[in-house]
Amino acid sequence: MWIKKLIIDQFKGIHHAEYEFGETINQVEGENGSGKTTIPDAVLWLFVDCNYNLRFNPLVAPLDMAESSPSVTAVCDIDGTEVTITKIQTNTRTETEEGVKRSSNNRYVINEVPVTQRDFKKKLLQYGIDTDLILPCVHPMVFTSQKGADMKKILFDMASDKTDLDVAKTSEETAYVAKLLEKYTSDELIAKSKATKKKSDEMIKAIPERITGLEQAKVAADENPIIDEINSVEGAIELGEAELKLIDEERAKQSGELEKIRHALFDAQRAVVDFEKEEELNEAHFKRKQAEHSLEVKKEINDFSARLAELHIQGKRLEAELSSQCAKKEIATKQYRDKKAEKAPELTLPRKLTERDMVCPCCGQELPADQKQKKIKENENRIKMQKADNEAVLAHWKKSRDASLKKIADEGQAACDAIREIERKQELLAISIANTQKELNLRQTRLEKALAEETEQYKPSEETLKKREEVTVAVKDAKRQFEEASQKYMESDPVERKKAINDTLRGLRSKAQDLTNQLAVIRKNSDIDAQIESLQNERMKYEQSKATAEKILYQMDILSRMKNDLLVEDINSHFSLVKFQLFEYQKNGNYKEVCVPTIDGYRFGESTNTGRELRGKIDICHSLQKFYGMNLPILLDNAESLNSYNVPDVDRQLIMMRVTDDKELVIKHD
Amino acid sequence: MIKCLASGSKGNCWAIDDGKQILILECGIPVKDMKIGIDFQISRVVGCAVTHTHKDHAGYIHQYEGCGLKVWKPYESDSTLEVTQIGAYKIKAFPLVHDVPCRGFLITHPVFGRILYATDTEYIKYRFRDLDCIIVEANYMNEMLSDDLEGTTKRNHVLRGHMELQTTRRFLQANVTERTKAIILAHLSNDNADRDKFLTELSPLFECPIWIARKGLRLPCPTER
Repeated sequence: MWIKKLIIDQFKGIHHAEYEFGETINQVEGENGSGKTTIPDAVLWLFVDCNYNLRFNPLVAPLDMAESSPSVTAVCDIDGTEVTITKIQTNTRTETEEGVKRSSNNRYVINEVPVTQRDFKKKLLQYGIDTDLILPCVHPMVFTSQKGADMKKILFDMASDKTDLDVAKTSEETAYVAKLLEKYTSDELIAKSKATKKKSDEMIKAIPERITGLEQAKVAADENPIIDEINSVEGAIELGEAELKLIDEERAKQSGELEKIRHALFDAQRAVVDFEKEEELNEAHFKRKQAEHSLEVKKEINDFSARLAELHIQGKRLEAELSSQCAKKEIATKQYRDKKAEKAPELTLPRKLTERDMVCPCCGQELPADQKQKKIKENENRIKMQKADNEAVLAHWKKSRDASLKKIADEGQAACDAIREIERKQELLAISIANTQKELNLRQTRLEKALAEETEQYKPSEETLKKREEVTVAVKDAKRQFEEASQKYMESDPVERKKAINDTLRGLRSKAQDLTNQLAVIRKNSDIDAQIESLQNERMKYEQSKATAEKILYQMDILSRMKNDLLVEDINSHFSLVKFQLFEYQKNGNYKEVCVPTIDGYRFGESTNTGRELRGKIDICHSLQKFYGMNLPILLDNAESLNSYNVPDVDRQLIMMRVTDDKELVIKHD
Repeated sequence: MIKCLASGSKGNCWAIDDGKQILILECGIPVKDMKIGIDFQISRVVGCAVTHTHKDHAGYIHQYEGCGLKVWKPYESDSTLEVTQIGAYKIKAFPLVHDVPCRGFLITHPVFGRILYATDTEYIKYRFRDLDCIIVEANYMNEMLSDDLEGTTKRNHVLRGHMELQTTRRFLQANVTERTKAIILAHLSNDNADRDKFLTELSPLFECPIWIARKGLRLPCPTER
């Protein structure tokens, strides 16, 4: 876009003016106050609502008018098309008690069509004019007057987007972080590494103190002499223990021998006991044998006495039997006599009929003849029958008496026979008794004799006596031997010797313990050494993790430089005259981000002259426009500092205000 | 791997790395730079050995010790022959001729063999057998000494405490054998030495390759493949 014509009405000190411009370089010349600066003020007010001094919403109404409508119209050529852009401000001024009150309202017109502010910006954007970016593109003082950081922000946006990973991959020096950048972002890596380094440093810091503490706990001594001493003491202990063992063995041997002797004594004593028991048995045997004879006689006496008693009992029994049989015989005799004397039974006959029998008992009249006859006949029959019965009874009685007589006679005869038998038996028994008594008497005599013999005493044999002597002597010998051995055993008790050795051993052991304790203390040194070594290893571990973190930071630093170099190259490729210095090394070797524009190697604000700086500033505007793809006029006030032959070659409309002594404002262009 | 992290009067530091253990020679650069030189693998460092107290060799000892590294300072001992074992590296220290007590190192490693490190000395009075690698000072050339400084302390220091190229040549001629696989010329003066001249002078005399020490020089160890 270039401005063909600018029409200004009621704007600042100008009531109405129209300026025509050329497509390339325009020199606006005039004396102070001729309205030169009003031209860039009007252009900037039209597009971005600020003046050349970068004051936004500036006061543009003429001061000498109570009410005014300042307006700016730019007739522009945009890619060959003429576009008329107008901005009109309506100002009202009311005087109140509090003072003068002003209010203003802006209106926009494009190609005679009124638009809202929003549509105005939108429309301009359609024409390739981004009002948000206009200022640094048209006003040479804007970009470099910003803070470094703000400039850098804009500049970095101009650089092509290359990731840290892309850059890291390009160099061997950053190969390690290149791998890590596949997982983490640069910021993450740096933060992580810094944290690791800090943590490692803290851990490392604490270790030397701990090591010093451990070193102080060490004891200055050599363990070898103590080990030697311990060995010698332990040798002495071993010897002492061996001697004790030897003594105990010897003692056990002695004790065994004593025991043997004691056994021999027991054996001898047992032999005596055995002998005496045998002798007792012998005596008992003798006495039993002695008593055996009288016993036999006594037994015979008992036998005969028993037999005699039995015989007497038989005699008594026989006598009783005899008397019983005698009684039986007498009874039978008497019975027989009685039976013989027994009278036959008296037999009666029925009475003979009397006259009373011929009278009726009821009426007392004589019975009829026939009845009398009948009655007599019946009576005769009855007497006849009775006579027969009587005869039968008598016959039976005779028979029974005869049988009884015979029986009694038999019984009497049997008793007589029995008596005769008993009497014979009695005779035989009397003989037996007499014989038995005779035998008994004989035995009595023998017993008396035997008893008299029993008083004789037991006498041991010659051999027995000799043996008794032998065993007694053997016991005595064994006893004496045992006593002697006991005495010797008691006397040879090694208790004192053992006590002495044990005392020595106790001393040695306590010494060994002391030495071992000492050694333990010294050996603690090696424990401490081990602890120190482990601490040193631990420290080295942290040193390594610190170093690894440092490696990452180091490579990230290299990466940052590489990136910055690329960035600087990339950014500066957009500018023709100006080169931005974006990083610099500090005295301590560190790398610092800066943002200093330079031209021909001279830093802005430090070593350039005004003309060179203005060239640079025009280049910045031009380069930014190219970068943003905009084609806008570049407005330079105070351009008299720049010789016309020094104006940089730019393919944009350039409107330069320069002070001259011309009374009237003149615009020179090709 | 023998790495030169720095060599010269501004600071000296070397790292000998067998892949597992790193031995640092000299503490003449900040720990930060040493770490960069060993790719920050600080836990592989088994110890440091320092030749003498001058700032360009021992200036940052406190930083190294502050990192928990053990620093061997044989020059503090009155004994002329000190021996130590740092990790797999056995180091014998022998006296050199400098304006302060200074030691050279004969480093024996089971894989690398025998490496000699001698710098900051007017001359070396010993001869060494079977050296696999020699790192030796070649500080200045007589013909390059400027006459302006004649009689000044600095000139005296250069003359008395450092090896002239011809001294270095004689030392190398006496000690280089068939077994020697690398020579590194160290501690070249900024003003009185010229890399190209040194190389031109010495290269024809020896069969094994000769390098000039500079920051970032990395050589596989003599027997490394």
